[in-house]
Parts: sequence; C-alpha cells; structure tokens
Amino acid sequence: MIGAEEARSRAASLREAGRALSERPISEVVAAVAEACARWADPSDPGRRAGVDALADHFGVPPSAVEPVLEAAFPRWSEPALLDWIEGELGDVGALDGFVPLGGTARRAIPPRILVVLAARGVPTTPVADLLSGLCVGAATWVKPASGADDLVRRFADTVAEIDPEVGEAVETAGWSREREEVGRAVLGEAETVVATGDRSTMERIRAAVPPETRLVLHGPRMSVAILTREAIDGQREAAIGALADDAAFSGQLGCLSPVVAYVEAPKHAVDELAAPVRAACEERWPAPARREADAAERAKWAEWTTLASVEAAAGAGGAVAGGADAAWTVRVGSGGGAPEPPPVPRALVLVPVDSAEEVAERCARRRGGIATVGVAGGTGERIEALAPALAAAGVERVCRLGEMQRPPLAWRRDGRPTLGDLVRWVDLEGRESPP
Amino acid sequence: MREEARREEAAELDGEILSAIGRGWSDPLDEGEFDRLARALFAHQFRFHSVYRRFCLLRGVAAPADVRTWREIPPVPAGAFKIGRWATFPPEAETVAFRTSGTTGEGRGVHRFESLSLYNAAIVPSARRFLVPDRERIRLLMVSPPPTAAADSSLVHMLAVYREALGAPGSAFFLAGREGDGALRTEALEEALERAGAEGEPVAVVGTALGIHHALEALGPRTRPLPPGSRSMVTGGFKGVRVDADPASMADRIAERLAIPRSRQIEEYGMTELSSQHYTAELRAALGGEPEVQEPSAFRRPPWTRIRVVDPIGGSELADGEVGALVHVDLANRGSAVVVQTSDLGRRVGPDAFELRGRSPGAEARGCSLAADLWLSGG
Repeated sequence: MIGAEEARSRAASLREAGRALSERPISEVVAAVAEACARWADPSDPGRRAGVDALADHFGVPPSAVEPVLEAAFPRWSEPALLDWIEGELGDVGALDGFVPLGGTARRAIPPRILVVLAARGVPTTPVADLLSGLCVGAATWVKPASGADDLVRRFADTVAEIDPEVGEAVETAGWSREREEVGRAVLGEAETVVATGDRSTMERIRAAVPPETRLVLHGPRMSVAILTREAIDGQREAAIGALADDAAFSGQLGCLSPVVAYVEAPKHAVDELAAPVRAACEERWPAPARREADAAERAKWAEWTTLASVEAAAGAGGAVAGGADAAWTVRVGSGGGAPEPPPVPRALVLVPVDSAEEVAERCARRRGGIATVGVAGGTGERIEALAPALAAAGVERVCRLGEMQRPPLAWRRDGRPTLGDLVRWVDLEGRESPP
Repeated sequence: MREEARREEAAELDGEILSAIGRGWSDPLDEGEFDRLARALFAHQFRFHSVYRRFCLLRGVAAPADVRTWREIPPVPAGAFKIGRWATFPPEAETVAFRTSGTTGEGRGVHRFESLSLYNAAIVPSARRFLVPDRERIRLLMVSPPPTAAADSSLVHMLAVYREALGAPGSAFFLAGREGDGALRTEALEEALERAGAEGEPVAVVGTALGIHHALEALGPRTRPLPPGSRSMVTGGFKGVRVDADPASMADRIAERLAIPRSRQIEEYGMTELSSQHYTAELRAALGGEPEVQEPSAFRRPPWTRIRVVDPIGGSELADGEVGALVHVDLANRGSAVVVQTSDLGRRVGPDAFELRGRSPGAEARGCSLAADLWLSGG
C-alpha cells in the first residue's frame, strides 16, 4: 500500500518508462511479454510453481485446482497469438510504430501515456490479461489489484521485468488502501486511459472520479449461462456434466464467464437427477472449504437462497438441491421462467429445465446487455450455429461450446467491444500524395 | 364458509394487534402477551396459507401446536415474496400491494394487503417517538416521489402517512418521479431549505441514502443552514448503497451542509416485506428522552415486534454482540408472514435494539462484475 506522494513519484517513473518504451519497436515489447507467458506456461518453471502454490493458499484449494486456470491462459498467449490479436484489432501491428496505410489513409495508433487498470477480484489471470493489453499497445500500465485479491499479476510483472527490465519499468502493480482517497485521485490524475470493472454503483463512482478528458473504459456486470441440449443429455451425459463443471468450477466460479444458470433441454425429473453429479463434478474440480466456513454475509445469502428452494418446493415448483452447508458447492434445480437469476453467492449453480433450447434466447433478452457468454453442449456445431442468431439478437456477447466458456481467445470482444482498440488513440495523416 | 371463517379470525386478530400497537411504549406487550399473539398469528397463517403450511411441514412443523414459543415459528425468507402469491387472503380481498425495488431482469417481491389498517397504525407511533418526539408536527422535506408517482412503494406510502399524521404546512415531496429514476426538483428543494432558514422554522429532511446523497450533490457546495431543531432521517438502512453514501460520510455532509448536528440525525430501517419500522435513537437521546440509551445509533424495535439474530446456517440464536442474520417477528404482518428471515446482518444490542452490519443488495451478476474496490470514502 502506498501513499499519495509515493503514488505521484511512481506515476512519474512510469511515464518516463513509457516514453522509453515508445522508442522501441512494438515487436520487442510483445516478444518480452510472450517470453514471460512462455515461462508461466511451463508447469516446471519455478516462478509458476510458486505462483500456483500462492494461489492455492489464497483460495484454500489444492494446487491441482488452480492449474487449469493458468493452463487456460498462458499457453495460449504465445507471440504469434499476441501479434494476431494486435493485427486483428488494429489492422496492422506496424501502426503502433508509425504511420501505415489503413482505411485509405495513413494512420498511426498512439497508446495512452499511462494506462490505469482498476482490477476486480475474480479470475487471477484477468488482471494479467489487462496488463498484456496495455503492454501490447506499448502503454506504460498500472494495474491496481483489488484489495484482498491474489498476487498473480505482481508475480507475472516480476517475470516481465526479469526478461526485459525496460519493459518491466513500464509496469506498476502497487495498490492503495480504499480509505486513501487522495492516493487514488493522484494516480487517476496521471492516467490517460482508465479501465475498470464493476457493478452499477461502482461505475457511477468511477465516472465521477475520473477527469473528463481521461478516456474511461468500463466493464459492467455480466453473467453467463449454459445450455445442455437434448443431444447432450441423451448421448453425452457424462461429457456434458464434465464440461459444465469445467466452466462453472473454473476459479471457484469467480469469473463472469462461468455459468451461473444452466438450461437443460429435459423433463424436470431428469434435471433433478443431474443436480448431484453436477455438484460432485464441481466439488472435484474446485474443492474449496465448506460453505459453513464462509463469512457471515455469504452464509446468510446462501441460507436464504437455499431456504427459498423449500418455499418453491412448498409451492409445487421446486426441484432438487444438492450440497448443504458442509459442501463447497450447491446445485439447485429451479423453475425460473423469466430472466436468468444468478445465485447470490459463488459456488452455486441453478439448473433450469426447458422444453426447448430455443427458449433461452428469449430469457436472455430480458437481461439484454448483461449476458457475457452462452456455452452450448451437445450435438455438432450445427446446434450452436442454429441457436446463435437468436442469442445474438437477444444481446448475448459470445456463444461457444460448453467447456470452452472460460477459455476465450485473446481476441474475444469483452462486453462486445474491442479491447486494444479501446485503448489507443488514432492519428490520421492526410495530404500525402499516396499512402506510404 | 372457509373464507368467512378466515375473515372472522383475521378481524379478531386485527383487533388484538391494533390494541397491541396502540399500547405502544407506554404499556408494551410483555413477553407472555407477545408470545400468545405471535403464535395465534402463526396458527392463522398456517391455516390459511397453503404454501406456508407445506413449507412448515418441510421444516418439521406439522401443526401450530408444534410451536411452543414464538422463537420456533418457521421464518419465511424475504425472497419468498417473489414466489407465487404470498398472502393468507384470496386475490379478491386484496386492496394494496407494495413491491420491492428491482432492476431489469430481477424479480420483484410483492407484499400484499387486505387492508392497511395495521400497516398505517404501525407507522405513526414509531415515527412520532423517534422523529418527532418534541413537537406536534414538523415541516417534512421529503426527497422522495409523491405517492401518485409511486403507488406501489411502501417507503413512499410511509412518507405519505408521515405527512398526514406528523407533517406541518409546507411539507412536500421533492422527486418528480419514482426513486432512482425520478428527477430531483432542485429549485423547489432549494427554495424550501431557504424558506425554512429565513422563517426559523425547524424542518425534517427525510429520504433514502441515495436520494439525500444525490440531493446534496445537486444542491452544490453552498451550505444551507437549517434552523435549530431541524433533523434528518435517512430511510432504508443504506440498502444496496455503497461507499459513496456510507452512513458516516453522509452524516458529516448533512451536518456540514445543512447544519443538522449528528445528534439530530436518525436512520430508519424497514423493508417492503415488513409492516413495522425500526429507528435509531439519536434524537431521543439528544432531547433527553432516552437517558438510559447506551448506543443511540442502534435501531430500536417497536414493542409489537421482536428481532432474532441467528446463525444463518442452522438458525440457532446468537448471543448479544455476535453478528448473524436478522430475523424479524412483526405482528403487523397479519396477512403475509409474521416471521421474516433476511440475509441482512446485524448484532443485538440489548433486548430491544440491534445494529446493522451490512444489508444485502440481493443477487447480482458477478465475477468480472465484482466491484473494483476504490479509494472513495466520501463523495
């Protein structure tokens, strides 16, 4: 935790490091970042092993539960993938080094002098991806981890600094106490672009705190849902349960790409039978401490939520509930006919029987702008293709196979928007006789 | 025949409950009286609410006689008001329904009433005791929409009852539409504050934490000192409101901007699913009306209610000072649920008071949506 003076001093150093970074070809920066990712992709790397142990301690799960979280990220963040990402979003990697012919003119992408990322507690690799996005456009980047969050982004920043000290100088990961208002203002005052994640009230407060001339990229609340088609239940039941648990249990369901509601194309009695095996599969993948051990707020919300299952049962609408206070996970069969309703606590999943997967789009439309990903299990890709247009029209931002929900490609359009494209400022050069 | 029996029983209970409310603090129900009435009410709800009856069966209570004290009445989770129709009376007997606030996609709870006689009766004595103990009436400046703009809001209804029972001439509502999306009538509020200052007439500024927060923002940095004797009341217990409107910083801003000392600022805690409200006792303590008060900022329960603080898992009652989930027992909830369990956290402070330790804003989309925590401790 740092104070305001220290924050200003670090911001000045960061700005200086950003200036030095801008003198270097972006390919060198990307190469350094890619090498750091390669080290973290190697299970035998001592830095990664220490990081895995720290994450396991942090979340209270065995290291084997954390490994898939890292595996979903670092091996996929190779140099060619990073370059493809830049190319895909900016049209030409060279636009970060100078004017290039783009869109019928000469165009250059200028990174923010300082990018500040206010990270949220959630999937540990998300702040790392935020850091990558800053560095991949050549921006000096300050990632402020959420208080009480894990330290993966700090560890990764250390690896970058080891590999390329000059790039390392352009990264800051210090945090500040939420009581130190002046520190936050000092840092935000130095930022040219701010990226933040939060709920509605957080977004409102950030908007008020960021100077109007600063570019602000806000990621609002999102949830994800799964669809288990009839084909999945009839022919690939075990695989579908496994894929659902892979996505739901990923990082303890702390990420918005983990499903919180799964629609199952099956009669209610068949869905009731899924509750116990789905819970067991989640528990196997992320064996966190029992709910009974959670803090009072989580226990209270969970207790009310599970008691409501009894109310629904009394009303003749309830379904099976798997996982009590001694379990880490709870899976409840719901009757929700309206919009997807997320459970109030993590490590909780609602299974909802539906007559047809086609109904899901209409339900998602009631949370338009709030559904990040829909993962579909069963059959061939044709079923996904068939469902996708209605889901897209309902405001869903990504449709993929179940089991892949928490493995989005780098080029994923988070919140339906470009990532790198939101960070840079374009400069057009007109009047040349012909584009260079 | 059955409906006739229900009506008769309900009327009898209403009479007893009205009498209990009427006795108020001067002759409060003793433990035995409360227990008898709470169990009679439970028996009525068990008999005439089939879903609640089946719920009780699932909780191991097969008949009203299985419940030996009010503490054993199976609590209804507040979320149950979102499921089906939670009422002991048939739809044709319903006259009013209050709805919980909610955003797109979230179901809204509905508290239905056959009559508002108990509800209205429960509002006035508590408000008089904690908000206006020193005067017959006071000018109420309410940062709230008028009842015509929010007929299904229990909070707005409560304020309308305040106006009728306790409001002096000049009392008014200052939001044009529904709370949250209603525009503040800034000029009208400015005028009302200035008029109060000029006339030296004490006022009560009343509203939700969010409403008052927005009003102070809209009024700008200028102070508008209100006459001595003025007071404020923040309603809603800061439900769903985060750091930028936390109680301490809000209280400081009210003190600085409106010259209402913290000793004359109170809070009200209520919820749509209940019929009775709870208040903090700063004003009573400041006026010397409650000299024994050790912790004036704790919420006081009215004598026709009880609060249990329980371990959320298992429901066992916790000792004084331990933080747990709040369970409300409210005799004025005759047509719905006499015992309501919330996921709000609190701790008991003596037999009649409790402190809130966090209100649950309800289920939200999460994950990447977990708030990036900020540094802001004030506006």
